[in-house]
Amino acid sequence: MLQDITKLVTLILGISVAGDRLVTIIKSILPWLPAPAGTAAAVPVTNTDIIKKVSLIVISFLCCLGTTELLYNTGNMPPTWGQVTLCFIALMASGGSAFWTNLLGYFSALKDVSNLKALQSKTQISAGDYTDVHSLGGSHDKRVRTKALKPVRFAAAFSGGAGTLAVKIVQTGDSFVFTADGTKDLQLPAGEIDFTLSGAAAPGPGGGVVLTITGAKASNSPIKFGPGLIQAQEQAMLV
Amino acid sequence: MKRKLYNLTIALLTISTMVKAQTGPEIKSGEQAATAASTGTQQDLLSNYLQVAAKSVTSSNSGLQLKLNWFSLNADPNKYQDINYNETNWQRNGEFVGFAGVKSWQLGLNFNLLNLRDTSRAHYEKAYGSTQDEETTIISATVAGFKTQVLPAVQTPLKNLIKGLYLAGKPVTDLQAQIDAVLPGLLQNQPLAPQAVQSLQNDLNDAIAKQPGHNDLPSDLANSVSEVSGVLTTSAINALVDLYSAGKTNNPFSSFITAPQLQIFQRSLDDQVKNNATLRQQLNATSLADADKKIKQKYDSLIKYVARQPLLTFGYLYNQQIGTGAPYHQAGLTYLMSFGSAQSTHIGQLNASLTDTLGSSDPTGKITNFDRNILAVQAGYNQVLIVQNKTSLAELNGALEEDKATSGYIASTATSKFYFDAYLRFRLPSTPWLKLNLKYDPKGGKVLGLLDFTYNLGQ
Repeated sequence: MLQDITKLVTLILGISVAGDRLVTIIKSILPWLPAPAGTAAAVPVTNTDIIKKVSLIVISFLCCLGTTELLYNTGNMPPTWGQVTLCFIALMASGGSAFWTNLLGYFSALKDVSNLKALQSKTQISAGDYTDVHSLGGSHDKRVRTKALKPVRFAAAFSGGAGTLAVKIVQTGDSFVFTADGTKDLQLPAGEIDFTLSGAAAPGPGGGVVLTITGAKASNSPIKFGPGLIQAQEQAMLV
Repeated sequence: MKRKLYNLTIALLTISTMVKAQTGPEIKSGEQAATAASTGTQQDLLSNYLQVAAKSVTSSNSGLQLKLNWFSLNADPNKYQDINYNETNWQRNGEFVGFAGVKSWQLGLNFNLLNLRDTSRAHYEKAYGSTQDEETTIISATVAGFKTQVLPAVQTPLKNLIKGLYLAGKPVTDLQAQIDAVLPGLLQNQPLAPQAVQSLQNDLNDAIAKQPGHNDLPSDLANSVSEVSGVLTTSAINALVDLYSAGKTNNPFSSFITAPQLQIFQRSLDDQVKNNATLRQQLNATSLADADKKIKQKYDSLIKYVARQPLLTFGYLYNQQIGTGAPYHQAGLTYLMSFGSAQSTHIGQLNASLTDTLGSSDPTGKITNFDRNILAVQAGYNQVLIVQNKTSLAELNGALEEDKATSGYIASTATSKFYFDAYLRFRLPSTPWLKLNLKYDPKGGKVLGLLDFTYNLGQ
């Protein structure tokens, strides 16, 4: 939830900053437009001033709306959002980037606190998981000692062009992405290790990626993928 | 004329069939889909692999043209390996051109000066990165939950089997067969199964050798049973996920996973996909298979978009007449850019070229002095008219051309000429392009019509 709000505020801030820049450009083209608020406050308010200020608000809204539409049409916003939503976002963005910068700072701080709490609870859950597994065997202390860390090497070899191979270890939370030939060495706890794979090999003829795992007692290595998208999947191995 | 047309068409089809037979089975990939969807104009400008064309079949100077991408000439069997492939970018941007006609022959080359359209070098994470990340999270969480339900059905019989063998006290050499008998299907289609079973068999034989006659399993062996049954169960569930992602609902593990259990598991996967905010917003996916399908669509669209990036080629051609007529050199630049989004199929393309031809000013062609220079500027627009299964099947191209002689003027010949060029090309899926060229000279009121057959090979 907090993450979604932060994303939305970041989006509006981006639109707002871009809108501000556009307004500045327009102001340089149309010098009769009012000076920024603050300097204008001391000047007596006349009908002309009001018209100029309203013009500036309308221009600011239109600039933000244009930017919003541009972002929407280039696929940077959810396609399910309708025109009313876009107008609403543009309206909020036209309020000025300073306000949204402060709001983003507030949510970032809030997120940091949440992350810290999540990390604490995750650590407790991890410890609990291990306790549960160990107690199944009825020899808690021994099981902990046998849960030794073993070196495991993941090696990726690409062919036929660029590709990516994302690897996430379920039990340890380790994650890494291969974008070229290379290796990744990990210390993994002995026993069953599950890991997910996703990404894509080069799409053309000769495209492919091979993941080789060494150090495991049993695995599906070498895991070979042909050209194109790699279906998101999970694999298991015995370390 | 009819006979010549027939002969050229047969020759073209024979060559293309022979070459295709040598390239092996087709690999259906996004890149090949992009090649299939690329326009004839784009393929004319730079061939992907090999292009064979019967040119000007209705004229007196008809012949066969062959375009060969330099990378296709690279005989290194490891040319697709990462490092080798990176070092050969330049080869994929160039091609040799050869033409053998009734009245002339040509040799030359084309080279792409921009390196924007190499689909094999582009990155497409935008199409799949965040959504696949969500998918893997869903899969691993759902598999872990389902495993707790299925594990006892694997672990208990396996533990009983191992305990029986341990108490029997005889070394075991056929554990895989014994597991097959107790849990049919568990070890099928699981590459890790032989290694896992061998590991368990080793632990079992070690335990038998150390503690013969012991009434219960030693803890090390019990742990080994737990680990092996766990990893085999997870691996089996993962195989079911792969099948389900591919739209298959069969259950090769029915000896320990019941049909109702599998249905609940599959429904759980789909529900999590439906309820995932990222997958809903970005894909509007209703199931795991649907999410995979839509990710693939986005990925393919992005590849096609890359394949449509601008192309700027430099070309050189030497033309030698057979019999009468002087030879000439021709060099030029051609630019092609496409319009339309990643999802567009009926795309438009702007093409512009600047060509310089250096030939002889002797109208009889007897004197070869290369003193006549003609500069030609052409600008046109190509529109895809018919698309079927994302493959362009008909295109219309209109262009304006101005030719101007800058030296070596010939008496009674205009120094500049203006033409209106047009061509219509069409094909059936997986057949050569049939291209009808029309060149109209408004001043002279002449129309020149030529017919080409062009066959492209993607690999």
